Amino acid sequence: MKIICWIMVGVLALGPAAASAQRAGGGGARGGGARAGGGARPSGGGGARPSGGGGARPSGGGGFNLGRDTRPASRPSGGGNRGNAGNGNRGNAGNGNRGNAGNGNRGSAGNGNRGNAGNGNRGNAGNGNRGNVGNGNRNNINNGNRNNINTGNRNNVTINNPVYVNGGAWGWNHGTAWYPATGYWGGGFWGAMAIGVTSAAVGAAVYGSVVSNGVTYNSYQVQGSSPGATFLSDYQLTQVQCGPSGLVVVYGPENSVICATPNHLVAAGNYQLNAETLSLTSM
Amino acid sequence: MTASSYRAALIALLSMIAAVCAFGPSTARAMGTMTIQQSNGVTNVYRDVVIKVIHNALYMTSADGKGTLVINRAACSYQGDLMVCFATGATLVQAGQTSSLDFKHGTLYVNSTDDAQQLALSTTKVPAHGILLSFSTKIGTYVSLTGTIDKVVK
Repeated sequence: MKIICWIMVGVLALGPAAASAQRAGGGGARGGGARAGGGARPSGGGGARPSGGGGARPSGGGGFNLGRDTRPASRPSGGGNRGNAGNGNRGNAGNGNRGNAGNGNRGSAGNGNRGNAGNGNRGNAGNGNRGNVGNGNRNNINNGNRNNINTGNRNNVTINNPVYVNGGAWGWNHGTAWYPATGYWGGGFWGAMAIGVTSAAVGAAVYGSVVSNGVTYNSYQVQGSSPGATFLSDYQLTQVQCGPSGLVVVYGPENSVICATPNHLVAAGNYQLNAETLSLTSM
Repeated sequence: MTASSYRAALIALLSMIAAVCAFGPSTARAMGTMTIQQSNGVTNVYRDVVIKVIHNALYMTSADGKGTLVINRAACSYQGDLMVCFATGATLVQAGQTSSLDFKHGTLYVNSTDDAQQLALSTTKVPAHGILLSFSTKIGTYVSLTGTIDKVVK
């Protein structure tokens, strides 16, 4: 825009006769300049092609030199599946059986009633049904009835986030929805810890582990400035290595788990983290 | 009109246009710079890349309009006023073909404010309405982008 502007100044400055003579030349200069300055090709165009050129670029010219990194599949990436994949299974796996054992009553004491009133019942309804589908049959045979009666309602006590009490959905994240990212431990909730082919975070030291339903889940140290760090800060929790009993065990996105020392806000026990409200629900 | 009065009028007009050129509001324009470093050491720098955010995907189009790189993002959270996202996949639309890149990892910083924002644990600042992207592919190509967002479609 400014280039055109200055060209107009030049054209006018040279007078009407000269201007008509210069207009054609000006256009040419503009075209050339745009190509040179545009920089679509870093060094005169040819340099953008590593060797022989044609192979590196699908089109044989223009665009980005990323031909060696492409693969035939033309689907961008599975955003939808990614988001949905982890949560349901994780929630179903953990809830109920493990949670009932440890903490139900203690966790409920302090603020359980309010939590239940607000959303506990709805939570129970949903979780219970899904849980039963997944792994409930064996439980029901052995002790299911008593469990359901005794601990069902007391279970799933929600401890609202102390900081974002009235924050609404995603209030902790400026109202922006958070979705897990594939390829990162915990979907990236606890920091940028990429996972390798063994589902272990690459370059991150294991911070203890939790065994649930015969499956061992490694835990890793939460990174600062991550949503997970915000969560810990909100509840004034200090992360510790998983393993010993008597800890706050938090199951987060994408089969992730972290542990913390209990405090006046959160009693020892197993909790499911709600990423939307950054709140805890006992399991 | 005499020659002198024509000259005077022309000078006045030139002054006005020059002032507008120098101080007038500049319109949005492609300000992105993308660097692609291949694993074999070849490095390409692409200037004047057009940057658009459309429905949570980031579109970067080369100055010649022949190539568009699409980045899908997820796990976006705020570090202060700066939004940090993890890139989850990259697609190259070029020469009539859509190809997925063998994407590895990447991080995206978006500053939607009117002020420059400092990156955590870094001396780097992201300019107002600026964007900073870095990702790598499985064969070791590194792609980085800095610039300002030309258009946002929510």
